[in-house]
Amino acid sequence: MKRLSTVLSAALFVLLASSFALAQSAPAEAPASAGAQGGLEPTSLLKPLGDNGWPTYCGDYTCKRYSSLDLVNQSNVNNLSLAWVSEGLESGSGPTGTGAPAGGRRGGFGGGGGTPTIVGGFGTGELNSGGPARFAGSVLEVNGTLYLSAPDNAWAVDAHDGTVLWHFYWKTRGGTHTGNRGMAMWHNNLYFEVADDNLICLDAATGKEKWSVPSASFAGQYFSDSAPLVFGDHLIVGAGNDENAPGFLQSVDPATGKRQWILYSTPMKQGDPGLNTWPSLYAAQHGAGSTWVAGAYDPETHLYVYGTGNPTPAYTTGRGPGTMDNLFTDSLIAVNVDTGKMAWYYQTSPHDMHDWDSTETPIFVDGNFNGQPRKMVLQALRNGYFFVLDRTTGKHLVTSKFGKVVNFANGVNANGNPIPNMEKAATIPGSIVNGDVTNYPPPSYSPISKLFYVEENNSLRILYLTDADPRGSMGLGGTSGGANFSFGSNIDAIDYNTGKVVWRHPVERNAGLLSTAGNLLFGGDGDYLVALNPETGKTLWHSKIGAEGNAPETYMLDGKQYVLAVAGNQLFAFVLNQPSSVGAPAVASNR
Amino acid sequence: MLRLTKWTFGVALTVGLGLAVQLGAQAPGRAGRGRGAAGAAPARPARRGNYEQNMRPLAAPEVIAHGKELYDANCASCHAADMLGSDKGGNLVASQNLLNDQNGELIEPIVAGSQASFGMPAQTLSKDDVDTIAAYMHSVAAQVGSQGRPPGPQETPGLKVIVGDAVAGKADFDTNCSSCHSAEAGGQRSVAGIGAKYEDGRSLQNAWVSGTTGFSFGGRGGGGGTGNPVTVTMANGDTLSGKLVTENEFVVVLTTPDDVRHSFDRDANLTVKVTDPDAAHKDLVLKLSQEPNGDTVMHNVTAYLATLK
Ligand code: HEC
Ligand code: HEC
Repeated sequence: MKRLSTVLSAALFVLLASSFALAQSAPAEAPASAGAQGGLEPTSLLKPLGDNGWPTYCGDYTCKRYSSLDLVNQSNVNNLSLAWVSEGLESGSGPTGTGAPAGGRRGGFGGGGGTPTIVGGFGTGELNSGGPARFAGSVLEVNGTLYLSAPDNAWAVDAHDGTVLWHFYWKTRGGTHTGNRGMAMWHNNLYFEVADDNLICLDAATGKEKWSVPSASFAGQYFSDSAPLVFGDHLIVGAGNDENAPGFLQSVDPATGKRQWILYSTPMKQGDPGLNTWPSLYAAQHGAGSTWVAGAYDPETHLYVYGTGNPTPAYTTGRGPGTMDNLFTDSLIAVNVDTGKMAWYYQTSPHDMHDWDSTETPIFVDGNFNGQPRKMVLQALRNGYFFVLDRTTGKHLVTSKFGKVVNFANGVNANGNPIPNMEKAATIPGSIVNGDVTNYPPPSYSPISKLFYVEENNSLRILYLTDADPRGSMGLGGTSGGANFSFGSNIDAIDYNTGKVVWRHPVERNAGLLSTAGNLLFGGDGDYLVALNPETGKTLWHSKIGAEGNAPETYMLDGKQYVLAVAGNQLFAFVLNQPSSVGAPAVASNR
Repeated sequence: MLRLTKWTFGVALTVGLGLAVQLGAQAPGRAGRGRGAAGAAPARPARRGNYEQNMRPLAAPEVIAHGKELYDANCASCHAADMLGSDKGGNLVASQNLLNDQNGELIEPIVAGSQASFGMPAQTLSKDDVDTIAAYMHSVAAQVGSQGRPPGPQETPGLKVIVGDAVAGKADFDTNCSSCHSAEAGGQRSVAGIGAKYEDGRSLQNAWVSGTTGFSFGGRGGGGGTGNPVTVTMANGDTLSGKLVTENEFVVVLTTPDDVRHSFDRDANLTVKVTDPDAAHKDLVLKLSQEPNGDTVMHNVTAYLATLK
């Protein structure tokens, strides 16, 4: 009997797992051979971030966002000046991608006229909003070219002067369009995900589409916006869904897009680990755990460590009593990229009733912990807690609370997991509870200061239950908020040995951080790009460029260190002011 | 998963048409969320998103109506009349099988018994009947809102927000509020009559907790204190007072009562004093948030204030 039902349930989810592959027209013909040559060698991604550009989401696999570049440093950062600003990038709309955008202006990028726009997608273009591009992801820098993406759009930009080289435009079928987190590169292939659930492979030189494959089921209300990641011959692809559907991570062949493995975030059949943390298999199968922010990779153990999102229904009952953890939602998961098998997990928000969505970027640090050398993973979460684990075993080392007004939990248990206070879930008469402390904006870690840097947002509000159905609501439904008070935002520096905040630098808001061997910490303060002293949090330099979409980045080009930031729909590249004698002769000699 | 309203996602809205459709769906007067009778009128419901399920063509109204009859007779006993499930059968609105189905082809095998081991009994229904039921179920799933919100109105009618003890609430008011507020008409920062200003407990509570009776759901204290009274003292001792426009590490900007804008570089030797009228209530909310019985105090005060008519 038991055996039979296992077989049957497996059969059920074969259907589910493959339904999105079936639900869509076959992808364009994949290249017959995987013989892509040249371009970005996957092995070059093993290098620590420095003079090798910005070849992957975090810059390197550790996700420290620490660059060994030090041409720009504390002694000269006051000379950091604007080298170029890209012309405002516009998202495509209409059938050709050149429909009149919201601002009325279109085309003519780069002055030379005729930046090619390459069109793909299964929609008509009517559902593309057009208008100024919205950036909320990483920019790749490879051999002097920048590659960046916004929902349904991607661009190649000359890293020397901001000229747009090509624009790829995807006619969407619809769906939830949040920020696109960026691209991945493998040899001459570029990859990005689009909201209507396709993984697209572009030729890096021309922006021409090589192929696209479904990344999830669009019919099943998934949406895709995470940055793909290359680990050797694996391309890791995540997806989101807000409507009571199972979250998953998958690995595909970077040459063809063919699936290598899929790992669901929740138990999908009888006998799956974690099933006893759900009231029923049905609840588990609809329990979410999205995978929309890229994680860190350890090439020695082949473990990819990433965070999973909130369970659904997110705020209401339907997932059993508060003692049911709802694995593996809101967890840090280590998966072996060759097998797709989970090596360990650690849950950072058991039985989440607040959409804590624990996908924030983890950072790998090799260092001393309590006097012993350790390979660690550090993560600061939306729920306001900071964690340190051994990244080889998942063993818990530190939990601390870095959000100043966080009150949703009754402390932590012996294993460091926050204990949800169910009285602080949404209630009909209202409960006063903290809001999100951080989110996707990337944190950073500097091996010089040995500090972990992250944004900290402090707020309290009254959370009301508005859908009192005893079966629970669906998705993110069922609540309303009132009387929201901000208690300010900061950039925090955290000592991983103790979890204590060493300094707080008040900011209006921040979209992510970068630390460098020049002993600088770059990040946003509202509309300003700032450089701070990583040891003290004191401001050393600032420039008003508008609210940033993501963390600043840095790269070397022709002997200069560039600091790159994205604000609004523009790229801003800064370099050190050169003494005029170094510049070109005043009169052109050869024209 | 994602919160579309959060600034960190930029203008994180669904695209074009979807947005309009969703806004349309927020309009009041939408048919009541079934809870016992999904889609009371099985006519074409308002669409609420721009996923395939929201946008696909629906069957003719009479087909949907017939499908509803068949569903009510054969399926509702387990999956509930509103399709949101019961202990005997799961929520079908969020069924991946339904969402990926086109014309009943993924539902037919299930109804024929492919999920019998999960407690979904085989039903003797013709293919046409199952496809008709599927057409009805698609018309309900088409009403799913943004971020997976269930079909129908988002609020259960008749929720009782005021549950506190008004007598205890008066004592809590005397302890926590009376230093700044009088309950007598004409007294200091009087709260007299506040109970008559609000129809519902949620608005009343949001108003008094935020310290602003001007609105009921808004937030305060964000936006860097724009509009707050500010006084800037310059190096030579001169002062300027007005309303704050912006204050950060680099500049301070204010408007004086004559409507003139003044901006200063923070490097100049300035002293900036901003008065935050929210400060008292921020302290109050912070205190309540950290106390084990803070929510009870809040509910009691709300119950007391509701009696001040
Ligand atoms: C005796 C109770 C019962 C009745 C009557 C019943 N179901 Fe089910 N159904 C179940 C159970 C139990 C499951 C297994 C999954 C779960 O727990 O919901 C299920 C599963 C399903 C599924 C798959 C759900 C998924 O997640 O994809 C569909 C579709 C479905 N039923 C449709 C129907 C339809 C259509 C009818 C009427 C013709 C019907 N059911 C009648 C109990 C019932
Ligand atoms: C330390 C002084 C202080 C305390 C204590 C205090 N308040 Fe207030 N309250 C204020 C101030 C100041 C305002 C005006 C806020 C503004 O203008 O933004 C205010 C505003 C209000 C308002 C809105 C009045 C209006 O007409 O807009 C209400 C209602 C209110 N408070 C109720 C309470 C209650 C109930 C308590 C106790 C639980 C309380 N307050 C405690 C200082 C205080």
